[in-house]
Parts: sequence; structure tokens; C-alpha cells
Amino acid sequence: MKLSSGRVLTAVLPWVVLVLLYLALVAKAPNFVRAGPMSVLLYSVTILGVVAMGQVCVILIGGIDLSVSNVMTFTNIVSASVIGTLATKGGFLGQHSLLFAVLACVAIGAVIGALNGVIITKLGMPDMIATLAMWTIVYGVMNLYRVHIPKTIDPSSHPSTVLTSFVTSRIFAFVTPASIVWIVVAVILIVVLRKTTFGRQVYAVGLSRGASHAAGISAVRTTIVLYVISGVCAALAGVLLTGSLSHANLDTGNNYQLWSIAAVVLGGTSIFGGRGGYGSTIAGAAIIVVLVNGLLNVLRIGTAAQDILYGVVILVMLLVFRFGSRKDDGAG
Amino acid sequence: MSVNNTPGLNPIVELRGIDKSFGGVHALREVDFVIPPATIIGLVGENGAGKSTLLKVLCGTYSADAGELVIDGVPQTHYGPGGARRAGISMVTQELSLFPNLTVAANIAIGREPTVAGFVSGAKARRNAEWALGLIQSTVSPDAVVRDLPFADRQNVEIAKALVDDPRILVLDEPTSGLREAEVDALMEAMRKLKEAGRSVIFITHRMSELFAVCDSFMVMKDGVTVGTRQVGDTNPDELVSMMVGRDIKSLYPPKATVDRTPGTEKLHLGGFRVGRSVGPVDLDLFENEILGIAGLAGNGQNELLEGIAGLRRSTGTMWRSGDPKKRTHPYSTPGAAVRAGYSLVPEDRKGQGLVLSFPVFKNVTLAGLRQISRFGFLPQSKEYEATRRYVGMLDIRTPSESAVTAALSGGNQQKVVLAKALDTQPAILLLSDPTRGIDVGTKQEIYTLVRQLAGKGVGIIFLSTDVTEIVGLCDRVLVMSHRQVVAELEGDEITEESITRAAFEGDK
Amino acid sequence: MIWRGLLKDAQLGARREPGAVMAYGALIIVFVAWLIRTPNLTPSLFTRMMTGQVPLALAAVGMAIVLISKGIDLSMGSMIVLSEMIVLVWTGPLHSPWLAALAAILVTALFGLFNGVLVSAVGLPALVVTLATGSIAAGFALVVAPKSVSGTLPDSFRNVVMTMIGPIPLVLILAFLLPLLIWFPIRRSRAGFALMAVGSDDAAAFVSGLKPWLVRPLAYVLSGLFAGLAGVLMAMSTNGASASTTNTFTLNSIAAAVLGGVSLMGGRGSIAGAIAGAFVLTFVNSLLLAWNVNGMWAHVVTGCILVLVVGVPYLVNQARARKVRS
Repeated sequence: MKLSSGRVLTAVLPWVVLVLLYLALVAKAPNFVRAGPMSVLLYSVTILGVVAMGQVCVILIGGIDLSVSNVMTFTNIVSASVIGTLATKGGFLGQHSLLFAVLACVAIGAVIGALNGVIITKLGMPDMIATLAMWTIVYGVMNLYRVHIPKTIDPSSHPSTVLTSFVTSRIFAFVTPASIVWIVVAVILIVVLRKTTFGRQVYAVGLSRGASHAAGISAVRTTIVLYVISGVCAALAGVLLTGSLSHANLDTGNNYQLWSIAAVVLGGTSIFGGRGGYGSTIAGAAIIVVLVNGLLNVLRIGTAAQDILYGVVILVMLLVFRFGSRKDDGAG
Repeated sequence: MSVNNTPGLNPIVELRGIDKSFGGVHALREVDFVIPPATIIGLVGENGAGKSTLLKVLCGTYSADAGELVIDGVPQTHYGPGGARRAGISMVTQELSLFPNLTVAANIAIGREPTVAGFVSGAKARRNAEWALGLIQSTVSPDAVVRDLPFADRQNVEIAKALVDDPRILVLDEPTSGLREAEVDALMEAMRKLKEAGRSVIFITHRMSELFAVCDSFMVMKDGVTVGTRQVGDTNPDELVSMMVGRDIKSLYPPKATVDRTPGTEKLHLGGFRVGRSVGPVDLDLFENEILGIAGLAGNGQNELLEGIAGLRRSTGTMWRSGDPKKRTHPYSTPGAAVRAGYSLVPEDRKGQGLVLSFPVFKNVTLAGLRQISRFGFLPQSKEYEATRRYVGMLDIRTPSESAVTAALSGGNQQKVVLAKALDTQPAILLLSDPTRGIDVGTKQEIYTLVRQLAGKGVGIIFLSTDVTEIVGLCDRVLVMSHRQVVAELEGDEITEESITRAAFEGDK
Repeated sequence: MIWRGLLKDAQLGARREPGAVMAYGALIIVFVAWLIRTPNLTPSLFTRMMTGQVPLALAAVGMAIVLISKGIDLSMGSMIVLSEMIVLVWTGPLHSPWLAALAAILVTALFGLFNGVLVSAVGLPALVVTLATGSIAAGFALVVAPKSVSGTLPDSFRNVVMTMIGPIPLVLILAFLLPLLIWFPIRRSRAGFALMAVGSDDAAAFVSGLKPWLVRPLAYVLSGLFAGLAGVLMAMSTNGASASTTNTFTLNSIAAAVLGGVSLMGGRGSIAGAIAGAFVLTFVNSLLLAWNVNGMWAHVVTGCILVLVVGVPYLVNQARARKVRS
């Protein structure tokens, strides 16, 4: 299959940038080659990678999910409070508090995702606005939930050690259990997108609704499935967040709205749909994590400059892709 | 090569040695084109010949890779749509360029609205619109909002928009396809009036009768090259066609078949078939070996009918196959269901519904038949390539490779890819909606031959066309539609251009 | 002659934009309901309420203009915060709150220009661009005001929002007057027509000789301008603020515009409708408060309203298209 120069650029550039950034980080803080700090980077990439999994799916079909940040925050709070509440009750519920927390969160993510999908496909709302509306609805719901949690159970005081170790402990070198599971799922996703009927349908719908509809591909079903995936991924990322932070606040997920989209875009996937994939999104996610950790720990830049830098980096990469791949022929 | 109808007068525009390529396709090769004043020139050629591309270079939409564009003796640099406008060149394209949410007057005035003290004058814009619409005798109201107008009215607004500037050169790219006869005549009158006023018109159409009715000269193109020019008095339609195609076209249509129409042997029967809110009821029978034509003026429900059968539109009624009323079914509510039941549609809108243009060819070929070709949900690419190679051979699809991007192919070859996709699902009934519109003569002939072969091999063919000549040449039986109903059924010798046209106008009082 | 032009415009507009008319109808209903629920209404109480509501009306106007041009401005919320912070913090150094206000508006207008150029001339997708610039603007807001600010504004400045002209609060008049003064001349100019056209169909605009890359930035500049104005009013009406509270201005301005009849597909909608939409939203929220409902329900309600306002007409249209003549 012929590769145009534009497509080579899009595929290779994110990894090149990632390596360069990582080298820059290590140069400034040699600490980051050691297993400990590396595993911090890795589990951060895992969390962002999980939510970006869902985001890339909906972006490929030509959509977007702006609700992920509040879904993550919501499940962060829910999982922490469920674990905390059940742990004190003991017995069957107490022993399986993590399981119930995860199930509850997955259900939340699936429901929100399904609502997104239905609103977009059946109510004629553009994806941006629909998921933004959902974002604000979840914001309200999560604040209301926060109020009604029994005051005696403070979500921050009963972290689940199982969850924490799943996310942050090191099996060997810098590898964490969560990251292994994530890589396995990532490989499955990449294979599904590239080699299966479902994957072909996703790209077809992303590139041309009219033609895929006429060919018998149900854009409605595909879209709803992908938004459910996005919701579930965001929910799981929120649970992972609980493991990594051991606490839950109303703003823990805020950055992930921008970051998840940035990960997809930095990886070279087109925001318009039909071009790109998850492999490069992983690179994009890693770029962001390296940037964040670098800025935060090494250069000690405050929130203000960080916010500015995120925006600038995204704009720069957008420009590079735009001018670098002007001769891009197609999306084979 | 130059054409000078009025010796002594300098040409308005001269294109010299124009070259233009898109990706791998060399659309124009050193084309020369001279446009003198006060002339109507017919630009003739197959699609892929380069006519539309040449005109887009003339109007500044495309910029040439090489060559000179000279206006009033001055070679142009940085030439774009603005430059074309300033030079007095106005074009009406095949793709409509109207804004649905603005009024007719606003659309006609767009970009150069008349102003009073810096603000747009609605009254002046309306007056200008009325004048331009009057030139072509259109009854459209300047205050109507474009999204509420039917296709033919929109086309008239497009033409009025080009006329309102009082252009020196008016370019018309297939302007008559949706128009009624009176409107076509009015358009030709307007062209003559322009010529009398010293203006020139460039006219592209696939209808020989129109070309010979109004043009002074022709320029024939083929494969991106100028084949030759002729004065209207020195040539005839056959010569033009053979210049375009380079072969004798007397055998354009394959011989028709004798069809056994015994009741009870129908391949397909539709009873009381209604599509959407207004099309039908239609009763339709299709027999073995038969090419059934659906004729009529564009926009009278023919395409909707086919889309209803193919599951793209909601329909009611009954349908059954193989002459067995006991196996009757409801119309299909999704395209997927229809495909599984053996119906394949070649859609009217090639680029929007027929193809995913950014896909490589092989992905388009298998698009409707993903289910058949997949193993446990996976798509073996080798099988996709194999299938594509088969169709490339069968249909003679000109493409650099199976993985070439479909958008880079010419219109005719793109249509062949759509056909390949439709055939890939092994249909029992093939529905073709205006499949040869905008396609070159050579490819048309290939499609006719193929369709006849398929009919002979047992595929039921329903062939919709707005080109009456094509219907007469190809089809064994014809249903004429007007105002969303079937108004006539013609068989054998009854099928003539006059009978079809008469039936098509039946409801038009 | 200008009045006649205005009247004719309003008539044509009403016929062409039924959404706006419906929004005003809804506004009257909600306003009356709220009036009933608030028996102790005093003019000053009403004025205070208005000062909280007018910023959204201005934001809705800016967002409406961008939506009509088939764009989106997700940086709206951040720009408003930035403007507010500039007014609060720069009043001191500049020795004048009015100068600070002017500076704030200029800054956000420039941001808008930046947005517009990137989206239009360079051709980057508006969603990602405005998301990114929103982050940048939020960062700048934090740079301007690293800690929460309070008490920096002179009373003379802050009392402007409490002024009344007769029985009507000045801010309410401004809510209609400012958009009118700024938008109306543009709407009636060639640039305005070009903006509506570009919002309808980009390719058609190019072929018609319009220059979308010149016209679209105008929409974003106006969005920035109105965001700046909204921020100034916010500064006037609160005694202090922090740059880091989550704000839902972006979504609310979209919801307000849509309520007012602006189409999310571009090319359709009116500014007047957007203003009505904003007031409908804020009065609904006030109603909720009057009914002693937790403030967080406002977010849920706004989101649901947005979904319904787009979804219900869509479903109705679908049902109509589906009926087969019997």
C-alpha cells in the first residue's frame, strides 16, 4: 500500500516528538529513568490512555465526546464513596466493595454514553453540543450526589488498597498491573479498528454517512456503540483515578476533557473522522503526560503557565499536521 | 488551434497551452481555447475529456499548472474567481452554489450587493433579481427562500445569478438537465440575446439537439486534448460524436431481447407501492431477461421509487418475487435488509451515496458486501483485492491499482466502481438510477452492454434515466413517470422519443 | 428612515425566524411565572437580578454570531473570566476602571481575532482550536489574577449597574442596546450578508467570489468583543472573584442561542432571539431558586432544555416526513 509523504509524517511525528520530549525531561531530571518515577509516568499514561480510547473511537466516526471529564470525576467520586461505604459495612458487600464500585461505575458510564449516542442519532443534535449538554447535566448530578453522601463517610478516608496497588504498584521494573491490562485491551482495539468489519464500518461512517448508509451500514447503531464505549472508558478511567489519587474531588477530571482530545489530535487522528487510529493516540497521550510531569515537577511551572502551554502545544501540532500533510491523498 | 468566427475582432479570452493535473490524472494537456466576442461555442466531449476542468480554469476556480490565460490581450497572473468576475466571465456550474437560507434576491446579489451609503439596499437587489429572472422567463419570486424551492427553480436562480452581472462571457455547464422545455427555449433565447449584444456563451450539454439549435461553432475535446473545432454549418451530430469517441457509434446500444411476459413468471412484482408521502401508488412487474426503463423528466419521483425499493426510503405496499404471491414481503425499511434480500442500487448521487471517495478502490468495492466477505468478523484483505481485480477486469476500470484512492479516478471509472460494489453482493435485482449521467460515451456503451449481459444472465434490471435517447435505445419496456405517478407503459415499437416525451408531459397542464 | 428600515427588518425577521418569536413567547411566560413567585419584588432587587443575567445575554449574542457563521467558540467561558480579571486587577495600575474595561475588551477581541484567523485563514477545526485557546485564556486569567481578588473597584464604577432609567434598569437597556449598536450596522452591510452566506455553505461562498477567510474572523472577533463586555459587567456586579472556578458560560450561551432559534447547522438565527433565550434560561434558574431547589439542579435543567429545544422540533419534523398518505 502506497504511503504518501503526508501520511508518513502523521504516523511518525508523534513518536519522534515523544522521544525528544522524554529525552529533554530526562536531561533536566535524570531521576526519570529510574523505575519509580517511570512507573508514575506509566500509570498516568494508562489513565489518559483509557479515556482516550473512548475518545478516539467517537472522533473516528466524526463525533466528539466533551462529557468525559465530568464522567471521570463522577465515577471517581462514586467509586471512592462506594468503596468507603461498603468497606465499613463488612461481610459480602465489604469484601467485594471494589467489584461493586467498578460495576456501578461501568453502569454509569454506559448509561451516559448511551444517552449521548441516542441524543446524537435520534434527536438530531450535533455531537459537540449534545456531549456538552451531557457534561453540564453530569456536573449538576455529581454535585447533587456529593451533597447526599452521608457526611460520616468521607470519600477520601477509605482508599481501596487493592485498587491502589492495581494502578500504581510495580510488578517488574516500572510496569504496573493496570498498564498491562490496558496494553492488552489497546492491542485488541487496534486490531478491531483495522481488521474487522466493525472497524471498517467505523471508518466508512466517519468518511461518508451517505455512502455508508446506502451500503447498508447502520450509522445509528455504530454511533451509539461507540459512545457507550467512550462512556465506559471514561468511567473506568475515573476508577483508575481513584486508585492513583486515593481521594476524590469535584475537579479531578477537569483536565481530561482537553487532554483526551489533545491525545487523539496530537497522535495525528483527524478531528473530522475517518482517518487515524488508536496506536498513534497512545503516543499523543504519552506526550501529554511527559509534558505535564515535566512542567510540573521539573520546571516547576504553575497552573497558569501549564494551561497556556497545553493550548499552545495543541495549536502547534495542529499547524504542523496541517502544513506537513497538505498533499495527503486519502485515508486508505 | 484557433477559431475566429468574426475575422478582424480580437478575442475576449485566449487560453494557450493549458496544462492541469490532479494527483495521477492528467486532466488537460496543452489545450488552446479562443473565445471571440458575439459567439455561442459548444464545448463537446466525454467526461474525463476535460471540459469541466477547462471551464473551471477559465473561471478561476482552478489554477492551471502551465500555460497562459490572456484576457483582452493581457496575460493574467494571480487569476481567481474575483479576476474572472472582473473580466466579465460568469459561470453556472453543475453543482449548485446557492445558499438555502437566503432569499433568491440575496443569492443573486451575493458578493456584490448593491449598497446605499454603505448598507445593502434590499430594494435594488430585488429589482436586479427580477430583471435577471425575467431574461429567462422564470416565475420565481425574488423574496422566496431558496431552501423552499424545487430543483428546477434553483437552477433558474443560478442562471439568473450569472446573468445579473451582464457578463461578457457566460459559461453554462449542463444547465438544462432539470428544466422544462419552455425554460430550455427561454434559456436559448437568452443566449441568442447575449450574442446579439456582443457577448459570448460557452455551452456544455450532452444533448445534440440543443447544441445544433443554438451554437455557432464547436470545440471537441477528448482525453484532455483538443481534437478539433467545427462551424455548425460544416458538421453534423454523428461527426461530432465520432470525433469525441474515435469510433463508429452506430452500435452504441446492444440489441434488445424478446421477453416472455406470461403472468405468473414475474421476477419482481410491486403492488400499490408508495414511497414517502407522495410517490405512487405504483404497480410494477419485471420479467426475466428484461431491461425495464423508468423514464420521465427529472424530479418526478423516479429516483424516490428506486430508493424505496432499495430500502433507503420508507415505503408501503406489497412486493414479491418469482411470481409467487405467497412469498410476499413488506418493503424494506433499511438498505441493509434490501441488500440481503438481493436488491442492489446504483444511486443517483455518485459522490455522496455511491462512494466513499477517500477510500481506496477495493474498500469501496466491498463496502456493501462486508458481511459476505468477512470471516469471524475479520476482513481478509487478500479476498478484497481478489474481488476488486475481478471487477477491474470485468468492467475495465482504469485505475493505477486496487488501492488507489477512489477520488483520483475519473467520473466514468468512479461509476464503474459503484457498479462493482452493486454487483459484489450478487443481486437478484439491480436498480440503476441515472447511471450514465455525466459519463463519457465510451463508458456509456460499456455500461449498456454490461447491463444487457446481466439481464441475460438472470439479473432483473430496472434502469432509470432522464436521457430519452438512452431509454429508447436500451430498454425493452418503459414506465413513464410524471408527478410521482406512473402515467404510461410502453412496449416494443411503442417506445419512441415522442411517445415518452408526450407521456411525460401528460400531467403538466 | 432608519426606523422604517428597522421595522421592516423586524417584520421580515419575524417571518424568517419563527424560533426567535417563540423564544420571546417563552420569555413572557417564564417571566410572569417568576413574578408571581416573587411577591416582594422591589426595583432594586430586580436590578440586582438583571446584573446577574445580562452577562449571559451578551455572551449568547457573541456565541450566536459564531454559530450562524457555522463555527463554535468553546473559549467563551474562559474569555469572560479573563476579561473580568483584567478589570478587577488592572484598575489599580491604570488608575481607572474604565480604562481597564477598555483594555479587557480589547484583549478578548484580539483573542477572538486569533481564534478567527486560525479557524478561517489557516483552516484548523474550530472545536479543537477554541478548546485550546480557551485553555490559553484560562491560563492568562490566572496570570493576571493568581489569587482571588476583591474590593479593588471604586463604587462609582460598581454603581453603574445599579442605575435605573425610570423604572428600567440600565443594564437591561444595555443588554439590547449594545448588541444593536454593534451588530446591526454589520448585519446590514456586505460583510453581514457574506457572514450569513458563509454560514450556510462554504463552498458556495467561495464560488460566489466571497472570501470566507476574511469574513469568519469577523464573527470570532465579535464573539471576543461580547465576551469582553460580559466580563466587564460581571466585574461590575460582583465585589470579587477567583479565576479558577469552573464556569458554565460556554454551554449556557450555546443553550441560550439555540433557545433563541439559532441553528446549530449555521446560516440561521437572530441575535434578538439569542438575547431572549438567555433571559429565559436565567429566569428558569431563578424560578428554581424561588422554589427552594438546590442550585445544582440549574445545570441539569439547562442541559435538558438544550436537548429538548433541539430534539423535539427534530422529532416532530421526522414524524411529519414519515407519514405516508393513505
